[in-house]
Amino acid sequence: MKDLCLSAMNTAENLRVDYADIRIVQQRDQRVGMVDLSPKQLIDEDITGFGVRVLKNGAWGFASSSNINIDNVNASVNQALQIALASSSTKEGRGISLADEPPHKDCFKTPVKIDPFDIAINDKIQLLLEINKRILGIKYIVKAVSQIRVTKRHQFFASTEGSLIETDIWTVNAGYTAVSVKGGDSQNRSFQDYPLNAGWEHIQSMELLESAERIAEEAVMKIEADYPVEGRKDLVLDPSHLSLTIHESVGHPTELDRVLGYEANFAGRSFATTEKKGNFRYGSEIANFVADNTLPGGLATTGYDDEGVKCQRWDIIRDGILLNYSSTREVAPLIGEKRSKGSARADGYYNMPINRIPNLSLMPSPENVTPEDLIAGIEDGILIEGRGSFSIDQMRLNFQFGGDLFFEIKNGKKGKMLRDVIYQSITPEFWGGLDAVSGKEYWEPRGFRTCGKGEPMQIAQMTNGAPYARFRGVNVRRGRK
Amino acid sequence: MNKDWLREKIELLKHNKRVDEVALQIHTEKQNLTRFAENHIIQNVSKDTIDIHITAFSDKSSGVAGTQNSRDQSLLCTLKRAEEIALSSPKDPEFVEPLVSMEVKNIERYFIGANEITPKEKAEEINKIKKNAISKNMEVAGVYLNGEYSTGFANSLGHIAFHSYTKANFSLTAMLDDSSGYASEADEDIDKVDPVQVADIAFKKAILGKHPEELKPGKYQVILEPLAFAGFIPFLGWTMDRRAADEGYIYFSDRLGTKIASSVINLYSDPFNSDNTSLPFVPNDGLPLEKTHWIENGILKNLHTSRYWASKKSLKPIGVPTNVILEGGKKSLTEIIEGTDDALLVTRLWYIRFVNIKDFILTGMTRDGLYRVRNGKVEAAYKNMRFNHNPVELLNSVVELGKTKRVEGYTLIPSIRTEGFDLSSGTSF
Repeated sequence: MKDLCLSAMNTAENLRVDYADIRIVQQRDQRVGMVDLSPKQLIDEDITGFGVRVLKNGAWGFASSSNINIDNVNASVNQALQIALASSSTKEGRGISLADEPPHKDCFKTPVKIDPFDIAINDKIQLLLEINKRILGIKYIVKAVSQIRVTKRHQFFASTEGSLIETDIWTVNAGYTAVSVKGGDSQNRSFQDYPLNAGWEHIQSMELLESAERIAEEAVMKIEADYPVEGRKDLVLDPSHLSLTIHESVGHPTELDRVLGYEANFAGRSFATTEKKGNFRYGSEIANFVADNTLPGGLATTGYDDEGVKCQRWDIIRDGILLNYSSTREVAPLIGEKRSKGSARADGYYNMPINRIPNLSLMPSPENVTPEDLIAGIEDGILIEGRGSFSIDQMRLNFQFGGDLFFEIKNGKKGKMLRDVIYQSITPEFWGGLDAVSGKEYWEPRGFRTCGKGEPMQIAQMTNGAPYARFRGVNVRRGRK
Repeated sequence: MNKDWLREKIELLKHNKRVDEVALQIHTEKQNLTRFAENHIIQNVSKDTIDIHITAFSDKSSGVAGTQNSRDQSLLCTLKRAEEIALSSPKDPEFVEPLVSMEVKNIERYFIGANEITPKEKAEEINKIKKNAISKNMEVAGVYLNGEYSTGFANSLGHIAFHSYTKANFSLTAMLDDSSGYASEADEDIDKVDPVQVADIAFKKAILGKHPEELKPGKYQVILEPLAFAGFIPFLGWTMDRRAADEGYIYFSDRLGTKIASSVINLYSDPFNSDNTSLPFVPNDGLPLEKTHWIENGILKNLHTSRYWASKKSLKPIGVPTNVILEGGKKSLTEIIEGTDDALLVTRLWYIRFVNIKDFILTGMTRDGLYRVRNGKVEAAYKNMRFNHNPVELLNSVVELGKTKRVEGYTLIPSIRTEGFDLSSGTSF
């Protein structure tokens, strides 16, 4: 593979490209699913191929193939060059100019204690079977759906600037959902899936089996819970829920390509435009968001991004003020940045890297604040746990979220269970209402493996960590008629 | 890739298998996509891939392994991995045998032109549009895609299905300071995709949307353009499942055979519809697809039914559809607008998600054009709004249906004038 990479870069240099890089990807992806007591989706896939990116006359060309041999790789370099020449006819001015990045010769591997592919597929099936049996053993449960996914991505990256980077990234996750039906009504309750770049040891630590009956019982309890009283309420959001709100209302709006209009035709743009950098009040003074692609276990912790930029840590929002964005080598110079933030990711070998959300977290309080402390400061509010419905406008302002489990808060105490709670807000108003966060012992690195963006649609993964957090005066509605 | 290749490879697998049966599923793509934004090309990509999945069936268990390497040695290695999964798995209480050989009708969807347009020709087309946009002080973003694809299935019992097709797609968002417009066209035949015409529609919508005002939350009569209602179609597809209905946790539970929509509503699928052709079989088992009525004269007639659930409940299996057709009327969108006293015109919906699957409430935002229609004319533009609504109830409150238009390359949808669309909150653009 290394020789193929070097050969491709030699070919590119002989063709006098301005810049080229190649990624050869060998990905193994194993999925084990269980619906009730029926094994479903027992799939073990190899996804292997290469993608070549060429910059010529200020424009990109990209060609990819699953047919890996030296002739095809070299032909693809030439194809990417011809496409770049076609692209250059629409450029304005000098076209694309990449931010500097020193060449790297390095290897990076996810620290893994137990290789998840060493665990027999039948052991995975038996784990899910036992989970589903426990769920289905609870009265009024009609459906149990569980899954495990383990992935290893081995990638060689080389560029005409002299980088040669080999990475091995393992990612694992598992989760399940119980569906209850009683009296003509229905509810879901899920174990909150918790992906990390790690080995099987993460699955072992998740208490999947131990939680199954509780999750199923809660699915039934939700049917009999009360609806919320609609109106302005204070909310306490747990990390598994808040990670999604962060992802949608902070992660996506601070992707620089989106800010610059690259996603205008599909995923949308952003209200967090460049004149706001350094002065816009995004949230309250305790809203501190840090991007960290070196976070241990983080889903975007890959050593280097997919254009060979070393992973970094930086502030996105400090003391409530928008300070920076995630970026790639292409877009960083467009706002005067000398170096990319290393946020270029590609879905597979067959896609060109695009600007993706990094590991992005709301930072915890330096004080020893507990979730109970947050609840104690609320007269009339709701505690929301887990993820539910989610939707946000294409400028990332108006959003609506549901959740998975809800509890009334009255006079500083957690009270009865509620059902079908949704809340609506506008991003800066919502984060402006943040008035307390819990301490670091309650901070959790929750994450996503299914973040969609781009045309063609690309799927990426990243961690969005959060503590418990309290928000004042949020518009709460019921999500049923 | 063709049917002969499938026959040859399934024979190879059949002769080397150590399990009861084996199946081979393939999908190939040779695709070129040019993506532009900020008035220049930001991505120009070529993709040549083959996805191969081999399923091994053994004593009521099965396993699947995948590869992207079509050489014989790779296929045999992949077979071995699939067999290892099947042989190490417990018996599946919902196991269904592979299909025996049966006829799968095909339909021609391959148009050579869609594969011949070059990146240079596409760039020239985009340049023309860009110049036009600049002359209108607009920015444009969009994609121009073309390619050839094939999907095939074969198993060791002799069942075989193969389908190849071409695709072309052009979509564009035109942007002014305070408004935007979107249009798209997708077809197997690139001659039916006219980028200049698509851009022109988007330009007009953006101009019409200038100086948007705020709209009060409430329930409104709306005219949904075909693209807007098409946003609901995937959610209908995922939800209209017979087993989920029988198990009682979706909106369609206990509604089969009942009236759920206006009597004028006829919703069906038909891969052989000449205006909206689609894949004529289920990709993962080769089950042939035929014309199926989902809602007929407002009555829920069918839900898709897996082969396992069909055998358990003595029903006919009905595959998940590959296209959807909502029958329309005779009026053009313009004629519907001219006949409307007071309504909102909704051009596109965005970020649609379930709020509740039992009530089938979906939420999302309007996008790229929300207008007021008054006394037969489009009078003003509004800032975008969030909706929370059940799409079946929109079909139950239909005032009138317009002519159908093919949208997204797999739906045929009319303009729909309907009552009571619940718009619950607004945004600032």
